[in-house]
Amino acid sequence: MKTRVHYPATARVMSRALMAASVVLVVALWPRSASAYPWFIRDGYTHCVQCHADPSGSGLLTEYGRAQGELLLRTRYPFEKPAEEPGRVANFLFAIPMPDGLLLGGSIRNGYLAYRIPGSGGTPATTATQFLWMQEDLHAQLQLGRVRFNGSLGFLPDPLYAGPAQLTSWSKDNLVMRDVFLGVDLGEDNEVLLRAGRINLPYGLRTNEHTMFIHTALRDDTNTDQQYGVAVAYNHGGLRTEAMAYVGNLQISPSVYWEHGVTGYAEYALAEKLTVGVSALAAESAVDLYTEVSLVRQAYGAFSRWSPFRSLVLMAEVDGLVESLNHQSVKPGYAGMIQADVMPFQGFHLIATGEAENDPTQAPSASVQGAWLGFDWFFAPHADIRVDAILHVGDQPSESLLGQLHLYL
Amino acid sequence: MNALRSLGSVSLLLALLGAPATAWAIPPYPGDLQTALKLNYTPQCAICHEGGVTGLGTVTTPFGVSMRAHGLTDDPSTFPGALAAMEADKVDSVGRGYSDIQALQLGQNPDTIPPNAIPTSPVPPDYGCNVGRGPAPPLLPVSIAGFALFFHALRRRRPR
Repeated sequence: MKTRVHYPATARVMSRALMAASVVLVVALWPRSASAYPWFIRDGYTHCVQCHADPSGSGLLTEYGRAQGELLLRTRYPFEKPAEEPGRVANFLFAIPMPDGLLLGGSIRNGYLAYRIPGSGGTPATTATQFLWMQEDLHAQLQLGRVRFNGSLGFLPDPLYAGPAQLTSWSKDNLVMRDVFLGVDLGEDNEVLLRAGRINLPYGLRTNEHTMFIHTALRDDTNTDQQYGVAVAYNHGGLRTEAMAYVGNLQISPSVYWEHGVTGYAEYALAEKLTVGVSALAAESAVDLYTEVSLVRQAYGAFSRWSPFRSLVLMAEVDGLVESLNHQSVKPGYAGMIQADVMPFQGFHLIATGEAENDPTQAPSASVQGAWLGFDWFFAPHADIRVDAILHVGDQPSESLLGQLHLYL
Repeated sequence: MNALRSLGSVSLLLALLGAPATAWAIPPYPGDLQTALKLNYTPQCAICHEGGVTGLGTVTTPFGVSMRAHGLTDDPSTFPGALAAMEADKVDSVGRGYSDIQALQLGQNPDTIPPNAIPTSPVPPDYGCNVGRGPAPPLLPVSIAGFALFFHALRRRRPR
């Protein structure tokens, strides 16, 4: 007679977890930008630090952030019991609770882009479709007392999509590292975080749409624009702020491409669901990565978030640019956007955005206006689908339709 | 005879003294350059004249050659036009990565490339920390999946 062997529960959980991770990694290799949702102000969240390990938002979730992902972020269906507790599904890999001091996360996002660039003169229009490897990362943080060790490791098959974040230098299928830092919490309520490493630049609104002008012109996205430096963040009461001094992206060589600078923001909650903020940045590089000449740039901006009622969030940012290319005279520019996020039911967001820029680093001409219209639906635990129609007019016209499927672990 | 020699010497002296002033006068170009570019120093003659040796046929430095190519001659009235043309063309006589005018404004010798200057064609950026070169190792995710399957199979093995 055969006897069934009973293994410990933890072993069964780990086995299931490894199986799930394998399926995810092999099948759903989707690059994904770390997710930042500043429209959470609709629920009174003026700070990002409660939900994210990064005090200025995006990326690895705290335990509290995972709970809100299940309770407030996704659509709750009539067949579900009213949620008072997030349940095990909010955990890492839908099931695994973390011990105190350890955070694990991951993100898988792929997209499909169809675009058309109108012709001009004798040049015909260009149309194309493209599968997009965006980001697929694992992320972890270990906290020992007040000290944190935080890092991410991802994979991308094509250097075109994450060159500045590459860790390896293979011809394809590279490892990428977007975030890594050593930090220490300071203050009676841990309201100050001092950290050093490769860090997202603190500036303005931190949103997911890394191709928006406020991110491409300011070079502050959470996709590949991280820099190595030292940052100090403060979150207490109605004020959240962070400042950073950086020496460059050490994952690029030669060092002439390293941009040195300082950047920071401060945002204050005037009311439970209304904030205003200011940002500033000054940086220089001997050879700019994108223009291949020397660049000295400064940016000064203001931004705001407002939710007059839960189903509507309005956000806006405007930035003035001052730039000098190749030791030549200084040229002014600007970048700005205004966005309305309408949530007719929980988890479903209709998003409309207007944006404009005049970026002196984009030769020969740089004045572009844009509009986004789409939706983002958090339809299931840890998952959302997003579709955007994007129109650019001006000096660089284009029309595109972008679809994304995102899964966070 | 002695009178003739003396007369000849005097004549020669007079001829030399009466030679065109441009052959012997201190050229105005260094001062003109300082004024035109608002420099806080007076450029040396050597930026145009090789080794600082002036005279006909000595304008052989890269910057000097460029200025002459843009219209500068012995006539001082040609200086403003030549300098304007150099500025308009953003002439970089030595490939330092920025113009001769900018180099002068930075207090640099326009005939040399400073150690911290970037060559006209910078080295393309290289991504990654030089961890491995060439093709990637085979299918890392499949390796992870294989390990997980093995672990799962090991767990499911039933003893007889």
